[in-house]
Amino acid sequence: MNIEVKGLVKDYGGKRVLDDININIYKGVHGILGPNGAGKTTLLRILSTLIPKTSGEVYFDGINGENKKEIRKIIGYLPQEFSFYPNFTVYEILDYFAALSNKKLSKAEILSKLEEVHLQELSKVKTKALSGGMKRRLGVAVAMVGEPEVLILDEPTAGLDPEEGIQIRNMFSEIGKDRTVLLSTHTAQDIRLSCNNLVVLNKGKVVYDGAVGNMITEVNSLTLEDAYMKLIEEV
Amino acid sequence: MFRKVFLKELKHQFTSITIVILLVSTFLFYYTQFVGDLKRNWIKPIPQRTDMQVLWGEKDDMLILNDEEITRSVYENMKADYEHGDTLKIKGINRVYEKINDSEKSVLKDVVKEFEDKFFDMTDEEFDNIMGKADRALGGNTAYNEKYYLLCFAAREPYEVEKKEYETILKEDKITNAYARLFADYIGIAIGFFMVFVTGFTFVKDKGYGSDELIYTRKISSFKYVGGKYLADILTAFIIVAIMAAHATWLFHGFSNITGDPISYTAFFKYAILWILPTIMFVASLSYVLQIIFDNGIVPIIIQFLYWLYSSDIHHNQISKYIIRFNNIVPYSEFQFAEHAIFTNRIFYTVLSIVLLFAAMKLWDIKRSSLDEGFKIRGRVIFK
Repeated sequence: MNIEVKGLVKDYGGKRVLDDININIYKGVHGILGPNGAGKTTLLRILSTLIPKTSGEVYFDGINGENKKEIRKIIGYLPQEFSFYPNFTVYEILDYFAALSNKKLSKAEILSKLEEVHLQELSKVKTKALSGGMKRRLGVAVAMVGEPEVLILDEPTAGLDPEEGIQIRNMFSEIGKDRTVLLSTHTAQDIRLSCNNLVVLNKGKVVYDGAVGNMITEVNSLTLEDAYMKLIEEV
Repeated sequence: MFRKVFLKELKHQFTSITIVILLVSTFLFYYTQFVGDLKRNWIKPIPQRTDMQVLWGEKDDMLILNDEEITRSVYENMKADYEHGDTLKIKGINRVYEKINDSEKSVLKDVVKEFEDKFFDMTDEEFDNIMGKADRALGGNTAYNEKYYLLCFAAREPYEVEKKEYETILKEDKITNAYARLFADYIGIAIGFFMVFVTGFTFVKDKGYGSDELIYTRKISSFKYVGGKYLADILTAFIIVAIMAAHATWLFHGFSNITGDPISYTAFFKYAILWILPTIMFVASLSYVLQIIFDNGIVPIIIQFLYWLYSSDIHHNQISKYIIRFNNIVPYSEFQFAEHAIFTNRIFYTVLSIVLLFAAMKLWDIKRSSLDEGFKIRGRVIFK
């Protein structure tokens, strides 16, 4: 599944948050890197049908982004901040979101999906008892339960301890083998460890779009973190 | 999809504190008002055993009673009980004559003598003591109990008038239809007030729990999501009403067993559907629309409360009021004058509820695509 973004603009109350974004995203794990306020969440929310664009065009394999019903069949979205009904168990949450995604799953299938995110043993635990990392993994399972062709993840490692962060990143690498994964982050480490390509956003503009490995040479830096800092400071 | 949303919402409602609030508050209202009325006014009049018939009078809009008459009536009834060998006992909403034994008769004889010795000239305290003594000796819950004696020995209308009214209700309404109208009046007021606490947060809680964005981006249509939740919320409230309707039917089943008079077993459920369900539907639909527009559950509660104040007074069931008021126990022939207005009102609120429900679906659909951007008309933000 390819995503084509052409001349995308988003204004909020007279302020331009996204300015003429032109990017193409292909199968694999793509990172959206940028400091806080760069427009990452706005971009992902437009792609996820949550907010309208001001102008420009978005296509998912030729399907216009305005066709929200069709886009919702294709995508799985995990917001930066989320939670679940506290009295529902882990199993019930996945079962519920499967239904909301028009998927009829057997008990074994739900348990298998929980196993993919290492939560099978917690299937009967209420979501209010989950740690931040467990909740995030359940969120990934929820985003994936409709078997989307495109997975959009907003700051999926934010607030996690290093060990949980590694688990989640490994999961993305695995998931990205057969679908398009788009994840936003404000730390270069996330990109280095899990992405093939990246887009660097700063103040609503694209300042880099290409392979992760090429960025260091193109910006003439020694490390990804260094290259990222240079790109941010240049704007 | 629809079924799952419906079942999950139903589970959520039945495991939340709001359901307990709704259940307890409406049942308290039902018990104190409706059952209270049955215990105050009795269902079937009982013929007097004596020539004394004490009637309530009226002065300056107040009900009044002649103390001497009621004292003499109590005395005459005690004498009659002694002669018949039984006494009137209060059993829930029913009154039945039960045999008394020799020792109980002996106490009655003593009490009768006390009345005669004092030539009916006694203080309120002395009267209460004598009555209490008789009630305790006869096993309690008798017509001589301080809670019941005025209700048993003084009437609003002469027995013949009450009997004729009762027989008309029996013939035209099989008793329960007339009482189901009173039931629907009381429960309509209660559910019309408390229902918003169940439905006012149905969508707000999605955001409150942080699940809104996860839900908005799913394949599910607005029709199925909002409709599934609506059906669950309506059913939750109606189950509570149905429990009370079942309880009322059970009370009247006991009455029917004691009196031998037939009742309609469907009456309370019928009026629950025809009169109360449109109220439930309307409160749910309106609160859905308001909470989606204003993005919180407090606004629907405040607006609903103001509308409830306007709708819950005694009125003629005009179209602008969403609660049906018919606070009378009368036979069907005497209810007919209000029937047209009531059913026009109910049809109007049923249709309005469905229109509002579709509006809520449309608004939810707009909201899921314009997160935090508010609602716009011709490009201008109207609500945010």
